[in-house]
Amino acid sequence: MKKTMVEVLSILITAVVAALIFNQASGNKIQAFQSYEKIESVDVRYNVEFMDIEVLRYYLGKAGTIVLDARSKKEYMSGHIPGASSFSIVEFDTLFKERGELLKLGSIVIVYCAGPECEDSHMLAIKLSGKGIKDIFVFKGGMEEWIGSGYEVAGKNIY
Amino acid sequence: MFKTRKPSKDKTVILTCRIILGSVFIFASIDKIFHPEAFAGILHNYKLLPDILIYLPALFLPWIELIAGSFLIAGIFVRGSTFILSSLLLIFILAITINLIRGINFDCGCFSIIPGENGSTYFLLIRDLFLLIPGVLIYLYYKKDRR
Repeated sequence: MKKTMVEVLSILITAVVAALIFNQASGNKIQAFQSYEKIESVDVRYNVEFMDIEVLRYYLGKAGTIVLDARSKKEYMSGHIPGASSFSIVEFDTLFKERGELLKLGSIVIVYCAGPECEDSHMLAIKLSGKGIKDIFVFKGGMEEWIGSGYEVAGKNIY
Repeated sequence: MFKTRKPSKDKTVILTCRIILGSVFIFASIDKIFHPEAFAGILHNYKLLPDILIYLPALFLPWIELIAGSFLIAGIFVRGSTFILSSLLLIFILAITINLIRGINFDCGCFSIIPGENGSTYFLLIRDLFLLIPGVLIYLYYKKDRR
């Protein structure tokens, strides 16, 4: 048992040293002892900002505005914000290959998911930002706030 | 008169267990190593750790998985690696069970930091329970295997 514990300690030390070296050299560096903060307003790390429902409504339908629904295609089909395209985070790589260049043409990209608690929109925004897309906004209230506010919900309109 | 040798079948079983368990953890670690911030978000969703303790496992846990998994396959510190990986599995099982009981819907981030790519919570629980089997076999029989 003592020998096993020495082995465990050796592995842990190796892992900690490797993690610290990699973290120092990495572009996605994090601070181990920093308190976790959920992205709440503007996150300069990812060039992601938040947008409220009134600003979203102002931009909807304007030239250059792209609205992406980060939920699954099935959820999108059951109802989405008018003008939004399905861009499920689960199929990110495939969808970005298909539509990445089009997204770069937009002047503003707005992403949303199910509601304030879901983080698929955050994740999609982070991934888009990582691919070089600029001016990404997250509509944090998502479908929950949209429906709750009584605005029109679009149906089966995939693109 | 002669010391009985272990049949080579046992060695094959233990080697297979080492490759299975090691590969699973190596594969699981890669995405998390390259996206620690996203993994921190997933750990936060478990709602089990205080905010000050989120980044610590986000940074070190994937590397522990990678190093222990690699050592296990390479035959270095086999019992130590097995002990760590099995302990991690027990921690994951406990975390998933607690959230199932609390009714919290979360993404485990086991293999991918992308939400929805890790299967249902019940599937995760069953998978982790099955993965305990190779760990237990290696831990119990690897010493005999070395004779």
